[in-house]
Amino acid sequence: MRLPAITFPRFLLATLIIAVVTHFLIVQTFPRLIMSRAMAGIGKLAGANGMVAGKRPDENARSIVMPSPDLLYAACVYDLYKGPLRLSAPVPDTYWSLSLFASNTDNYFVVNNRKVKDRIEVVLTGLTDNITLPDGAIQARSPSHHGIALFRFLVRNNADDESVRAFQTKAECALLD
Amino acid sequence: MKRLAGWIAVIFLGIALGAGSALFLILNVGSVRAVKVGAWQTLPLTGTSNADAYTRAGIALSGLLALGPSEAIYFTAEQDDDGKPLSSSCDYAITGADFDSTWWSVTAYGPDRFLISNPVGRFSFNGGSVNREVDNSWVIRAAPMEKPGNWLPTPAGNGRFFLALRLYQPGPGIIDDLSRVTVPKILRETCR
Repeated sequence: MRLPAITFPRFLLATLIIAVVTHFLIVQTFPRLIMSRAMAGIGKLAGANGMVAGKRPDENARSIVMPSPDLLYAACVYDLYKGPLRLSAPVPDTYWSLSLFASNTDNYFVVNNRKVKDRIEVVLTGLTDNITLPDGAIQARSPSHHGIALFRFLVRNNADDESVRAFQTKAECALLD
Repeated sequence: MKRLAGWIAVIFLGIALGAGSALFLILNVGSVRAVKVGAWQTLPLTGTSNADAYTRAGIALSGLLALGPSEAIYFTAEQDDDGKPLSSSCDYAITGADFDSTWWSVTAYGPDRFLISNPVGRFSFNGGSVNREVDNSWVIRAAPMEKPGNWLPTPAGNGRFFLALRLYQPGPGIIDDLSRVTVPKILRETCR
């Protein structure tokens, strides 16, 4: 096959089309790439559907940018292809939240200390899954099969660290029985 | 052969232009989409499904796993109140009072967006840890060397840094109009 000659209009048009396609591909895929990297990093520690409870972030916390040093985090990379998940934890009466992030980084669900006391139990399913919820559980529907569930527990000062850690380390992420 | 080389050059040029323009807009999304209040700025659609592709990509890069505005609002400041970049070659007084939120914190980050190594292991102050003035206001001193009161360490040497203000569970007045938040003042004191 003989390639057409590059005239100036062809050069402009072809460059423009390739640039526009590349531009939008990068903008659209960028969040998913960053999220995939984060999921791989967390998943390396506990696998899919396993909870990672780290210590309070300090200068050595370098897996996710802008960690808050006032929070204890517990994170779970979820894979709903394996089935619905149960996310649960006893919760303190100070600030805490459980937030869910889709594979495109959207924070599509959050529940916190204002809505639930003592113990949180969330059943995470796909968008169209219908299941019978355990007593007291809340259903969350993920727009993507993969994502991150993140518990945040506030540590107001160093003296609270140990007592808050007792809640953080009991956070669980497991397939629904 | 010449034609083939020409078309390959066109492809590379197109990819370079497309990638360069995409990265430029992602890295600078704040200058277009951010709400600015004093020295601080915030992206109002952070974490939401309403965020446009550029905001989503910018947040993924600079603040992955950020919560939506009904749960938390994140302000950042890379400059002082006079518009000069924050630098460890200067000391700063950050002054403010409590916010209409369940809790708040002010954190210092290095240019790599991670916490700054320091001898006392302090990275932030929050509503529970800050020492207050008689009128309940507070002053945080951001400096590389120890300061009396609320010392927030900044990088050693002459490095750049930035501040993050987190407002968790903000009141409806803040969510409805981010420009009405009374943000802390960032005043430059001595420089070396």
